[in-house]
Amino acid sequence: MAASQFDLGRFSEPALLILISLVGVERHGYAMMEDIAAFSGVTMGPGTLYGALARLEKQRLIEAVPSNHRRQPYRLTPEGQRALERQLDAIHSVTSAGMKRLREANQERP
Amino acid sequence: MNASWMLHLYPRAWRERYEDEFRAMLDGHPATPSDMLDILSGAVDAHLRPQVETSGGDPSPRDSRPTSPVQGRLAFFFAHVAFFMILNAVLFIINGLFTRDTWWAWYSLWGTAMVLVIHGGITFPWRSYFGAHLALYGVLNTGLVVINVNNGGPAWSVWTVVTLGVLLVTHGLLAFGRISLFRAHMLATALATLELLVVPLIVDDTVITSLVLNAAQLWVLVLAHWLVRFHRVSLFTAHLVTFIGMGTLLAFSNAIDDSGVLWVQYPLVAWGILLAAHAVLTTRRDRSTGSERASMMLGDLGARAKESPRKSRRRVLGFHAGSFVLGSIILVVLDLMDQASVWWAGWPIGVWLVVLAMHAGWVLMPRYLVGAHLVGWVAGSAALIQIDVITGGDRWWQWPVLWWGVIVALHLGTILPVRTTALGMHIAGAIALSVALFFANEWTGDPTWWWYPVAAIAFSVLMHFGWMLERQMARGGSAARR
Repeated sequence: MAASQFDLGRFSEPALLILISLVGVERHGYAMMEDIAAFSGVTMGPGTLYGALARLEKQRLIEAVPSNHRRQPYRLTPEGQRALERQLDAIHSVTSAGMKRLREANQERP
Repeated sequence: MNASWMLHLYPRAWRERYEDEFRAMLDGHPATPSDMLDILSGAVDAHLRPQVETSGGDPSPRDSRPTSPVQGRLAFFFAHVAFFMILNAVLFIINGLFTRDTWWAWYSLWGTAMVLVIHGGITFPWRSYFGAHLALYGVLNTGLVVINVNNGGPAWSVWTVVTLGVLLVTHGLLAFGRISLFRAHMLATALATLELLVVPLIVDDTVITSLVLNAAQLWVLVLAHWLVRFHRVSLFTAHLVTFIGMGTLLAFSNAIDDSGVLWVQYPLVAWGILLAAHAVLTTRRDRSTGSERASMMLGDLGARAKESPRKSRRRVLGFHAGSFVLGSIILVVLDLMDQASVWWAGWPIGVWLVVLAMHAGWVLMPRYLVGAHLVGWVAGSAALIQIDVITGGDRWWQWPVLWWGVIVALHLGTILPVRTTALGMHIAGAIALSVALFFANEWTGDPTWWWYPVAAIAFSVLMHFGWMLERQMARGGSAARR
């Protein structure tokens, strides 16, 4: 996916957390907030959550699941799953490079 | 704390899609003050960068009533009218309470009226913006005449009234399709000739020879236009004819004046260099007919607001900037060779710089309206400063320039690619401006005046957001009633 298609503006980090929260499971807004707080320690406000949700849905990375409840559950789309994999790969490359340099720096230190 | 009411702050399209589930989430879990701030931030972001498309997809019955562009433009225009009215009322109150000896608030009223007229021209386009030009003509000249009368001295405002009037009349005839571009040009030249002959007769009871020569120069331009339009001569030939005609008249003008200085050499040398450059750059003959060229020029005039290819516009701007640099160097060199005590090169370079800034604002600004605001501010401020200098005023220009600048800065804030909210940008801008005003006051050593504009800035920022809040709540209420 081109970078421009995954341009989530100031919601890029919340969007990533939401995508991770929806891997393999359907969740509504509040459940996402609780899950994100549990696995990342990030307390996401409702305005931030829905700002990111709206962008992700607009980009068809997530979709609403038909429901009779007022609380609307969401799930990842196949495209969203691929986008998440790419994002995590990119983050992994950066963290690996960073860790490698740190190790080298520690080894060179007397 | 119940924060459901804050949903009214979101755009209508957003609410139609997410309101129910958002409300359900808020109903089950009361919001903290931090959550409310987050919701407010999300609402502002939803306005600045719409997250929900209003068409396409699977439209619900409510989706069939999106806010039309016309409604949006009207709301935007009348919001500005209201904002400027309140702003000016506050300024008049401050003026009346604290600095009654100088009624500087009139300048703000004048400046904002002109901004509104331009804005109105975009909102209510009438015959290719002829209506906007008509209204601007009235407002601008009213202000200039009042300044002229108040300051006394020569009746210079007659020139702006008549000159802009001539341009307005010909613009009107063009806009209403009554006349061709060439005939409009000829008519404007005829009226301008009349003006140059008659106005000095009325004002000073004399005929000024240099103005008669100016009129003749205008007819040289008509001749060049006629050659291009009806005789299919190349643009370079037309340029050469203009150079020869203008040069002859300038030489004659120099010969009969009493200055004793051969000043004609400077424009002729500079123009000659440009003409030579034109000759070198003209590698192929433009084979389009005169009428085709006239149509292109008319189309260009009528469609300035429409998008043209980005690369082309930037290339032309680059050419303009390069010409400015080259021309400025030539002017500075000529000025240095002249060894006169007056640094005259500053005037043409300054005027050219304003024009270049206008061009750059038009081309580079990501949004047409913001670019137009910036361009208007730069050009208008330069004109106001020049009028003040000519009339020996008391730096009154700082007020309209300041206020107009604040408004333009706020508009610029809406397009900056920063990751913050509009409220944050407004507050940051207000703080920065307040600090600048404070130091400007310290620097000039005037009596303490800085807190007047700072108080008004703070008030206007608060009022702007109060208005946004009110508008969104009103929209929410009407949507709920439907």
